[in-house]
Amino acid sequence: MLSVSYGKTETLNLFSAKIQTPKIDKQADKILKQMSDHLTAMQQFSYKSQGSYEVVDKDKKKEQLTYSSEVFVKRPNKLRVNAKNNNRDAAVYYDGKQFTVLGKNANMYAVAEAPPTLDAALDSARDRFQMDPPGADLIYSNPYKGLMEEATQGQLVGEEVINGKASNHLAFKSKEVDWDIWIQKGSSPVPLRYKIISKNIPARPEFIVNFTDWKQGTGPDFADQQFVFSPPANSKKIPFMRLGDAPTASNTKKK
Amino acid sequence: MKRYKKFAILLAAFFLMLLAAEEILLLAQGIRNQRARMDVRGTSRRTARRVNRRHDYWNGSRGTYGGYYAAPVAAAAVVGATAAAVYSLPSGCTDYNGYYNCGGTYYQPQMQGNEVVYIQVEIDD
Repeated sequence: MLSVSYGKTETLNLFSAKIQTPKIDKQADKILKQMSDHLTAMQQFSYKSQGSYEVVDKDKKKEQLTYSSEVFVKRPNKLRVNAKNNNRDAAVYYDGKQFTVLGKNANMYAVAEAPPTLDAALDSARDRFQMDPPGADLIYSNPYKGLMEEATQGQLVGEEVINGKASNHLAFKSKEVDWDIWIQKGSSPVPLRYKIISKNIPARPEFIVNFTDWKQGTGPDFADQQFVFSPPANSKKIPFMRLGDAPTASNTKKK
Repeated sequence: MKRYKKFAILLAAFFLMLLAAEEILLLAQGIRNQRARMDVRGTSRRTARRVNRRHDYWNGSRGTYGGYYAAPVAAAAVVGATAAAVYSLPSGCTDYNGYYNCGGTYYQPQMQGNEVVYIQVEIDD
C-alpha cells in the first residue's frame, strides 16, 4: 500500500514539474513577439542566409560546414529555396501540392505529395525526409509559437550591431538547445542572426546563420508559377530516402 | 469503497507504466544515437513526433556518413540497418533501368535531405 501511494505522489510531481512557468523576461518576450508578428504580416518575402554549422563525428571531432541560401516565401502555401554548399547546389520547391528537391549538379530530383500549408509541409519534410531546414523556425506562419514551445528561460542581453544594423540580442534556453536571436531595431524587426547550440550533444556543436536582404515580396519572382517545379532537360527522377530505408528486399531489383 | 481503491491503484500503475515505457524508449535512442553521426540542430523547435531526437540537416552532411541510417523513428526499426552509401559514383558506371551498374555493383540514386546519394542495392540475376 505504501509503495502505491509513493507511486501516486511521484506521478503528481512529474506532472507539476511539467507545468512550471518558464522564466521569460517580459521585454525579451515582447521583442520576439514583435518580430514574429512582423514576419507573419509580411505574407510574401525573400531573404538571403549565410550559415555555418558543426557536425560531430563519432570521435567527437567537430567539422564546420557552411552554406548559403536564398529563400522565397509566399504564405500560406508556397516556398522556394536555392541552397549552395561547397560542391552542392540544390533547389527546393513547394507549391501547395508537391514538394520537390532538385540536385542541380547531379541533375536529379525527388518529388512527394505535400500537405496544403507551408507549416504542415515543413513538419512533413522533417518527419518523412529527415530534412530540418536551418532556420526554418522563422518561416512558420507564427514563428513565436514554435520558438517558445520549448523555451524555459529567455532574456534581453542588450543592443548589438550586426552587419551595420542596430539590433536587440535575445538569449533563450530550452531542454535540448540554447538559442540566441538578434532582431533588427526600428520599424522592421526582422531577424539578423540566429544561433543554436545543441547542448546535449558531446562537443556542443553550434549552428549560426546571418540573414540579409529581407524584402517584401513583389513582382514576377512571386508569381505562383515561380513556385511550381518543372524538370530541367535530361533530369532524372529519383526517390527520397525515407526514414529507416535500407537496401532490403523492397529495393532489391529483379531482372 | 474497496473497489474504487483498486481502480485507482490500477490507474496509477497504468500511468507509471506509460512514463517508464517512454523513458526506456529514450534510453534506447540515446544508446543508438551514440553510434550515429551527430549534427548540430538548425531549429530550436522539436518535430511534431515525440520520439524524434535528432535531425539530419537540410544540407546533409558530407564525409561523416557512417552507412548508418540514424533515422529517428522507433528504435527497433532502424538499429542494425547498414548500407553502403556514396556521394558520387566511380567513373565508367552504366545506366541500368534507373540504377547504376558500376563493375557489377549496383547503386540506386536517392535524395537524402537535399543531397543526392547513391545506395548500394542487390540485383538478382
